[in-house]
Amino acid sequence: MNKINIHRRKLLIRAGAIGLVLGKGQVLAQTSEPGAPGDDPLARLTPDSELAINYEKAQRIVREVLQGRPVREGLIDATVPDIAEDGSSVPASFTVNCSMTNNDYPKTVHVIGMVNPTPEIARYHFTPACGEASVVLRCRMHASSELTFVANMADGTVGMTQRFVSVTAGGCI
Amino acid sequence: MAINDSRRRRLKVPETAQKGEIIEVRCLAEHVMQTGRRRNPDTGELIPRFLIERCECHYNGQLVFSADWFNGVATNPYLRFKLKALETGKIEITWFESDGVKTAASAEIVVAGSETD
Repeated sequence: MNKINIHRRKLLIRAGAIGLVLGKGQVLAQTSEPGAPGDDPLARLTPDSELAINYEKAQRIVREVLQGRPVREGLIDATVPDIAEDGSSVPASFTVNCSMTNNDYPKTVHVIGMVNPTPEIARYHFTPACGEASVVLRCRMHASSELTFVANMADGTVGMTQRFVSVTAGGCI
Repeated sequence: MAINDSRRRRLKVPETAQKGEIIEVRCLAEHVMQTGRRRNPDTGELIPRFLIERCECHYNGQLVFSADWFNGVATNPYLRFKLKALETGKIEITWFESDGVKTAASAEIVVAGSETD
């Protein structure tokens, strides 16, 4: 329980999410009695711990792609809405700033929703024949969080861009 | 379970382009993209997972772009990407669904100044 609360707190701070919920989370940690979650009026907060678990999963995927390599700044330009009213279809796009010649192109770009139950949304594989590494997509988002774009370049370097999207109604059902 | 079993596919590419021009390919697959997390509202049973898992683009037979899709891709997946127009020919998109079905859409493009003209 404690561990989950810590995760939740970390997540909410990281995601810059609603301070109100954090306050309630602290109340929950102090007053709730174990064994009777059904009677707890704050039980609706339990999805937060699910979010924390999803966030851990997403972090793991990002780490696996980066493999400890230094992240190139400004490699990916991403466009996302500030507020998505419908989490079941969030328009997003990205462009990788590269020449698309020799080894200067992204082999794969990963799109990751940081609190989605299945964090990895899509992978896009490019070749120099694309001329430009640019994609427009529509994804599902479970809750307000960052959309992460990670580019794995053919020359072995990596780039990452994160954009926060405020989701009004979650769409990962 | 036929909530929406449409498998209509749409693909749009410019009809003509200059050699070396970067063109935009737009495609849309009508598909429920069932994540396997939804429940049937009447019975409470989980609706089985049913997704388009992969999408490939071949330009004159050569694989130039592909995408792997997971649960987070929205219903009726829309995709827009870029290609470099180098020669007159066929642009073909293939969608691979999780039940093994493969669907495709193709379009012809005429590239001015290419040798195959």
